[in-house]
Amino acid sequence: MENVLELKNVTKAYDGFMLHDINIILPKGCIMGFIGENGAGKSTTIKLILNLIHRDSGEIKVFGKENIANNLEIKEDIGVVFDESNFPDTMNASDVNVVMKNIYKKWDAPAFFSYLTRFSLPLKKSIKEYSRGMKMKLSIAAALSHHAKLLILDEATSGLDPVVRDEILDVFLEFIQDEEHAVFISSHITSDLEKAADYITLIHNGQILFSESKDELLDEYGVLKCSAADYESIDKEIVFGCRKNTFGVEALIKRKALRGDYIVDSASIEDIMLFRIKGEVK
Amino acid sequence: MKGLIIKDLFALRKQGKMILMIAVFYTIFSVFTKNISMLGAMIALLCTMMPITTMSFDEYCKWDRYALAMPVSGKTIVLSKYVLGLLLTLAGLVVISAASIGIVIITGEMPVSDALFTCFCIGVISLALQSVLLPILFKFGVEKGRFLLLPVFLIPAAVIFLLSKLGFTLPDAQTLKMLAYLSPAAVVPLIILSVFISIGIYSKKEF
Amino acid sequence: MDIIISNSNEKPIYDQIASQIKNLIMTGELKTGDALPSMRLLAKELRISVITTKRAYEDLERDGFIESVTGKGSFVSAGNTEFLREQQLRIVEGHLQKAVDAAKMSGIASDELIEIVSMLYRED
Repeated sequence: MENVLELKNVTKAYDGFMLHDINIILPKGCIMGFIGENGAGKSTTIKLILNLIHRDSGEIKVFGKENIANNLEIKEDIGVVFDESNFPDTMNASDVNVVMKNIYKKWDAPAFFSYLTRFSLPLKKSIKEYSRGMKMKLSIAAALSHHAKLLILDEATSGLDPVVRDEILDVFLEFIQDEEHAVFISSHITSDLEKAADYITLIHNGQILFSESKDELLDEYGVLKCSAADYESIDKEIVFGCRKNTFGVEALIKRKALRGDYIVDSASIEDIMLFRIKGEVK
Repeated sequence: MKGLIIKDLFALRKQGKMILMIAVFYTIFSVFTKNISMLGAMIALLCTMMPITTMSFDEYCKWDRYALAMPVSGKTIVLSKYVLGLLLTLAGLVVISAASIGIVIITGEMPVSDALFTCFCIGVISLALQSVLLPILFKFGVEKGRFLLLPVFLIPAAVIFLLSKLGFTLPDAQTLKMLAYLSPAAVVPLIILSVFISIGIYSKKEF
Repeated sequence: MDIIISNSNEKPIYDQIASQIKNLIMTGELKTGDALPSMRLLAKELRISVITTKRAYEDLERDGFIESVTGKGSFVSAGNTEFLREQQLRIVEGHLQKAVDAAKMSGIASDELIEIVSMLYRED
C-alpha cells in the first residue's frame, strides 16, 4: 500500500453546488494540506471520504481499500477531528474514555490519558466548561488514541490561538514519524501548512486547482512586482493571477519561465492561493 | 452499540437527577394515595421522552457525523435508540414495583393485579409510542419533528373523544384488561416494523 | 550536530541542508560511519517537509557523501573526503577564475578583489 488515500474522478452534485472530478492522492508518510475558501468543497470532500454523504460517481480508496465496501474496517484506523467537539456537554474526559473504549477495537486508554496529561486536560471537568482550545485538544487526543494510521482534520485548528496550534503541529509531526501514517488536514490557516505540509491541494468552486508537493510549489512560483508598462510585455502564459494597483502590478508567475531582470519575491502558500483564486490574468 | 448507549446515559446525567426527584416524589405520592396510576403515567411519559432527549442532544452537538466517522454503522445508531428506550422502560417498571412494595409495606394490601396491569400498560404504551415517534424523528430531526409529536399524542385522544360522542362507549374494564394482556402481540411487530423503517430512513440521510 | 536553515536565504532549503552536512563531513565533525538523523526526524525537528530532507539526503548520496541503507538509515560514506575536498577546491577555483576574468576586464586590481572576497566571507 503506497497511498493512504486515493480519490479518482469523484463527483457530487448538490442544489446549487457541485464537486467535480476530484482527484487526490496522499502517499503514506506524508502530510497533505487541503486549502480553499469557505464553501469551496473542502468539508464535502472530507465527508465523501468518510462516507457521511453519498457520492454520485468516482472511486475512493483508503489504505488501498474501497471506502464503502470496507467502511467499518477502515474506520478503525482513521482518527477524525472536526471543527467542534462532538461529545455531549455533560461528559468529561474520563467519560470519553469509557465511551471510546467500547467503540474502537484498538482503543488505548493509557495513551489517551497520557495525551490528556500532555495537553493539561482535567479528567473530571465537564466539557461544557472547556475552552475551545481544550475541546479541540480533547478531540485530537481521542483521534490519536486508537492506533489510527490516517488522521483527518476538518478545519480543526481555526479559532485556536497560535500557541495551541503550534503544540498541535508538533503532535502531527510526531504522528508522521511512522512511515505508515498520513495526515489529511483541511484548513484556511495556510501559515500552519507552510511549515510542515508535504503536499498542498487547492480546491476552488468544487474543483481541484492543483495538488502538488509544497516544496515544488514554493520553488516554482514567485510574486512578480513591476510597473503596468513592464507587465504588458510579459508573456501571459506564465502568469497565474495578477493584481493591479494604482502604483504597479503584482502577479503570480512561474519563476523559471520569466526572462529578464525583475523583482520577484517568494510566494507564500497564501499568496499562491489568493492569486489563483482571485486575481484573473488581465 | 454499548458505547453509544453509555454515551446516551452520560448525556442524560444532568437530567437524570431531576428525573430521579420526580420519580421519588410520585412514588411517595402513589404510596400514600394507594394509587399507582399517576406514577404509571409519569413513568410512561419519561421513558418515551428520554430517547428523544438523547436524539436532541445528538443533533445539538452533531454527534451523528462523528459517530459515523468511527467504526459505527447507521444501523447500530438506530438500534441503540430503541435498545435505550427498552432499557429505560424496564427501569421504569422497576420503579413501579418499588412503589407497589411500598404500598404493601404501608397498607398491608397487595395490589398485585393493579401493579401488574399498570406495568403492562406502561410497557405497551411506552414502546408503542416510541415505535411511532422514533421514525418520525429520524426522518425530520428533533427540532422540526417536535411539531409532529403533538398530533401523535392528540390524535388517539381525539379519536376516542369523537367515538364516545358518536355513541360508542369504551369497552368495560374487563375487556380493556383483556386487550391489555393481548397487546404485546400487536406491539412487538410494531416495534420490529418501526426499527426497519427507521434504519431505512437513516441510511438515506446525509451528514 | 547543528543544522541551521534560513527561509530568507536564496538557496533552496534542501540545498542548505546538503551543504551544511557536506561541511560537517569535510571538517571532520561527522566521521566515516557516523549515523545521520533519520529524514523524518530531521523534518520534524526543523519543521519542514520530509520531501525536503529526502531530497537533501538524495543529493548527498548522489555526490558520494553518504550511504543510505533501507531499514537502518543513512551513514557518512567511507569515500575519500580528501578527494572530495579536492573536487570542491576545483569548483571554487573555477568560480574564482570567472571573478578574476571579470575583474581584469573592468580593470579591478587584485587587492580590491581580495578585499571583496574577505568581505563576502565576513557576511556569511
